[in-house]
Amino acid sequence: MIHVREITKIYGKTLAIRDVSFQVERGEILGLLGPNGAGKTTTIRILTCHTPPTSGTATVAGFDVGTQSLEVRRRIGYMPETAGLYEDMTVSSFLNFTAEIKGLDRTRQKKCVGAVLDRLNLESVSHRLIRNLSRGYRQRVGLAQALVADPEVLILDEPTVGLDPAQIREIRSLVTSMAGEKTVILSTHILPEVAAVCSRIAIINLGRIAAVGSPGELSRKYAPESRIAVLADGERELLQRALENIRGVVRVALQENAIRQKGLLFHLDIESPGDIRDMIPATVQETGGRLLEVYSMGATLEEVYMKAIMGEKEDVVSRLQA
Amino acid sequence: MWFPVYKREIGAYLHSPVLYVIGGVFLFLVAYFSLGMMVEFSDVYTDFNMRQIYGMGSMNVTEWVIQGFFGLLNFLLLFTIPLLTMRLFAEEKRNRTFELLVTCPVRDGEILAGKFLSCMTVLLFFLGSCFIYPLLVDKFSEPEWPVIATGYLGLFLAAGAYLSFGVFASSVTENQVIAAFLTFGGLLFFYLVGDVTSSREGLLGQVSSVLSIRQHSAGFAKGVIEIRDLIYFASFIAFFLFLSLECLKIRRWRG
Repeated sequence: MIHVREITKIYGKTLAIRDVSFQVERGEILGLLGPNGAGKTTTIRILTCHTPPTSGTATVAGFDVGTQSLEVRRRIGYMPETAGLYEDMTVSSFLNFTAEIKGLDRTRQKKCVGAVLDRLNLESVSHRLIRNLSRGYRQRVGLAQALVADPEVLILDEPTVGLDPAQIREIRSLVTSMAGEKTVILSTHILPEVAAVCSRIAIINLGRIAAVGSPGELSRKYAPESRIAVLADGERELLQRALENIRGVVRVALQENAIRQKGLLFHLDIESPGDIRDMIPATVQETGGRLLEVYSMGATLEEVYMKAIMGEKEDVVSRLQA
Repeated sequence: MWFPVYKREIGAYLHSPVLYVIGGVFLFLVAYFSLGMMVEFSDVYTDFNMRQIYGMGSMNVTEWVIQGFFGLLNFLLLFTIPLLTMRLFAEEKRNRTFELLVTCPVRDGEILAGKFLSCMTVLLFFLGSCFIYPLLVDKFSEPEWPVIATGYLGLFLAAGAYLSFGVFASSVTENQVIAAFLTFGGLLFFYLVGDVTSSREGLLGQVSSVLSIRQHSAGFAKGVIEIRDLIYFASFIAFFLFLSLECLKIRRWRG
């Protein structure tokens, strides 16, 4: 659905992004993850035909962002980072305006605006001026204008910045509900957000793509060690030693600060992709302890992210040295 | 696709107090000076001695009042239009709504057309409501209606020219004060350039008289339509709208 091939953007003398390539398939939710200033917004602005790339090509639904920009813009719903809204309009007149400018005829316009007001719970404020709305509502209005023409592609630049946890959940569940139906690119620097909603991740750092893949692929690639959590009741040192003796266990760490009612929580780092959960009940019983819980944690996205980004830095440093 | 933009702009004007303040002051000034000119005319007309002093055997209401009326409106537009055009692009850029607009499936030219025409509509209302003064003159005297017609034509052309310059100034900056002052300064230059240097001989004099908005508007207020005046205004408007469009494109290319 979206193909980005080696796009580079230079602002004056500043290199914003370099040789960025990735693809997004129809119905996929791609998380564009990276620290602030990594080039997420630049990438998005190129895809939304706001700024053309210095070199490289990008296509959306087969249309080139440079030469067929109108066709691309017809298919995209875009929510900019700090959604600028017309403060002097009411929510419904603003949405009617965006529907109209996106080429919907009068009957579809009415239907679509009604649907999007309903979907984002904006009906109660539809006659209020945008100027007087709270942050959460404004953000929802920003999302509503992106969704109003029912676009095939949805591009959201930091959609949850400045929202409270309940609102963040709301927006995330909304995005998740569109999986399969719409192609979504969501940029963020918040890791749990990506973990919660995205089916694929592109990590971007220093203007370059550091890694692309599904969360599973990335954690296998960047954090081959996996982690098992064991919650058990018993003698602390005995348990620790017994767990350390299981074959394949690299490290056992007692989680002192974890919130729990009883028992001791250990994190076991294991080296191979093999699963050792079968062996844990017996091991704990041998020490005279009582096993409460065992579960596999996988590598956290945070580890993947840090490794990908650090790898990128080392790469740059070594290239500079060479 | 220009129509939604146009509609939104009209709404934005109507919802902002700026329009009412500008309109109120504009209409007050027009009323005060137009009525003043009429009173002065009737005073002079009825007093034989005054007519001798002014050196007019036969006085003509068209020359005296109607021409003055159009000169007045033209002059007031110089101050009014920068205040109407300053927000057109500058405000959108400052409020970051421009990003929204340019990523919608609408061409730069359509955005420009919507904005230009919305401001033109506002001015049509301003100038239209001033039509009451020619009517008033007609009630008490016999002005030449063809002159009023050409005078209005000239006024609309001048307004279009001022607007196109204002739109251009607003497209180069995101600061409304800068946009307004650039427009005001630019328009004042085009307005006065002929008066200062057109008497000079040689190229400078010729060029400045060719550029002068005032000299090109003068004919219309006298009831004369000259092709070169029409060409002047048409090319003035086209030139600055073209520059505005290029400015929007440069933004696209530079980001």
